[in-house]
Amino acid sequence: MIMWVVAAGLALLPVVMNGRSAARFASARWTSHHPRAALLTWQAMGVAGGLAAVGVGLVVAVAPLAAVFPHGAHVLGRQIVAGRGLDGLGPAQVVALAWSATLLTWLLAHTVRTAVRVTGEQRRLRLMVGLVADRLDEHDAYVIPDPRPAAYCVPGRRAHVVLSRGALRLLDEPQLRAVLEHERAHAAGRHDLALLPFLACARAFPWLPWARVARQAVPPLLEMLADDRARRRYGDRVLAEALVRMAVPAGEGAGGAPALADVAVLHRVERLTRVRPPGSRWRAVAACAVAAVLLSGPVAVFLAPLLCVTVWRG
Amino acid sequence: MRLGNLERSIMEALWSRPGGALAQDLSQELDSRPAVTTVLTVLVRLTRKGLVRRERVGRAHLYFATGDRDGYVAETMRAALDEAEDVEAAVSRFVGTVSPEVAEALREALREAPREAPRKTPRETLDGRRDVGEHR
Repeated sequence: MIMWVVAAGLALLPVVMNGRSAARFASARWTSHHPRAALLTWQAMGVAGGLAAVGVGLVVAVAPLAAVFPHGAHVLGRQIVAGRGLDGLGPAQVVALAWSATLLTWLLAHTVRTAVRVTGEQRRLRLMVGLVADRLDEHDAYVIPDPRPAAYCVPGRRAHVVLSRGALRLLDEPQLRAVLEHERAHAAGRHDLALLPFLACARAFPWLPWARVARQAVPPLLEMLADDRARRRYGDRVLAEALVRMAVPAGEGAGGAPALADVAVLHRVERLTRVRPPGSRWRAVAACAVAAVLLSGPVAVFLAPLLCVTVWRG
Repeated sequence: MRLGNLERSIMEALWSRPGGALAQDLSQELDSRPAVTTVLTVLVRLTRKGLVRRERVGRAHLYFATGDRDGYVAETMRAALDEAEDVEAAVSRFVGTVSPEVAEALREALREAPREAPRKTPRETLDGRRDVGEHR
C-alpha cells in the first residue's frame, strides 16, 4: 500500500507547490521556445495531480480489504456490486473514499459548468457575428463594421474567424494572411478545448496557486503555438508586424501596471524578432520527461485494477 | 448557427422600423418577396433566439427587434477587447488591448529587429547589410 500511496503522492507535488515555484516554471525561458512541450508539461502536471489526489483516497480506502491495492480495489468493487456496500472499512477509510468521491464530483461539476458557460458565450457570439458581420468569402472570414482593429476566432465545430474593418484597413495582404493563419491554427488545434480544463481547475480551486498560475500561463502558450504555424507559412517578420499593428493601446482609464497579457504579447513579438539562442532544448525534454514520470504513478494506480481484471482474469 | 439570409434581412427590416412590423409588411417589403408563412416561421425562430419579441395588436402580432444593431456590433467587438474572463475564454484573440507603454515597447522591439527574417537570402537585405552578418 505504501508504494501505491507514494506513487500517487509524488504526482501531487507539482500541483501543491507554492505560487512562486509555479510562477518560475511558467516564466522559464525555454517555454517560449518550446510552447508545445511546455503545454504538455502543464497538462501532464494537471492530469497527474488530479488522478493522484483522487487515487490516494482510493488506495487508503481499500487498504484493509487486501494486501495489495489492485486486489483491494476489486474486493471493494465486488462487494459494492453485491450490495454489501462498504463492509470492512473503518471510519478513516470511509473518509478517504468520501474525499475521492467529493473531489471527483467537484472537478467534473466545474468542468461541465465552465464548458456550458463558454459554449453558451460562443453560441451567442456566433449568432451576433452572423447578424452584423459581412462575409469575406475569399478569406472565409467575417468582418465586423467597426473602425477599431480586432481579430479573433470563435472556436467550435464550426469555427468563425472574425476580423473588423479596422483590422482590414490596418493590415497589408501578407499580414492579413498571417493573422488568419494564426486564428485558423487556434480553430484547427481546438485550443479552446486545451484551455478548458485549466479554466475549470482555476474555478474549482481558486486558492490553489498552481491552478491560478497554470490558468495564466497556458493561454500565451496557445498563442505561441498558433504564432508558430503562421510564422512557418508567412515568416517571422510579417507576423511580428501584424502583432504590433494590431496591439491596440487601451483607452483612457485603462492605464496602470502592464497586465500579464500585455507582457505575453511582448514575449510573442520578441521571440519572432530575436535570434533564437541555442541549447534550450534539453530543458524542454527534461520537463516533459519529469512530467511523464510523475504521470506514470497515478496512471498506474488507476490502470492496475483494470489490467488485473482484463489481462490476468481468473 | 450561421444566420440565413432571410433571417438577416428580416432583422435589418426590423431595425429600420423601431415602431414594430407586421409579418405581412415584412413579406411585402423584402426584396426576395417571401411568403407570409415563411416570414412567420423565421420570426418564431428569431424570437426563440432572443433577437425578436412580439406584441399582440388586435388579431395580429407586431414584431420588434430586441436589440439594436450597434449594440450587437459592440458585443462582437467586446469579444476582441473586453477583459472579462467569460468573454475572454470564449474566443481566441489575435492580440488584445495593451497599455500604451507596452504598445511603445512593441514598436521598439520591431524597430530593433533585423529587417529581414533570417531564412531569407542575403540578396533580399539590400537595405540592411548589417543584418546579414548578425545571423551568421
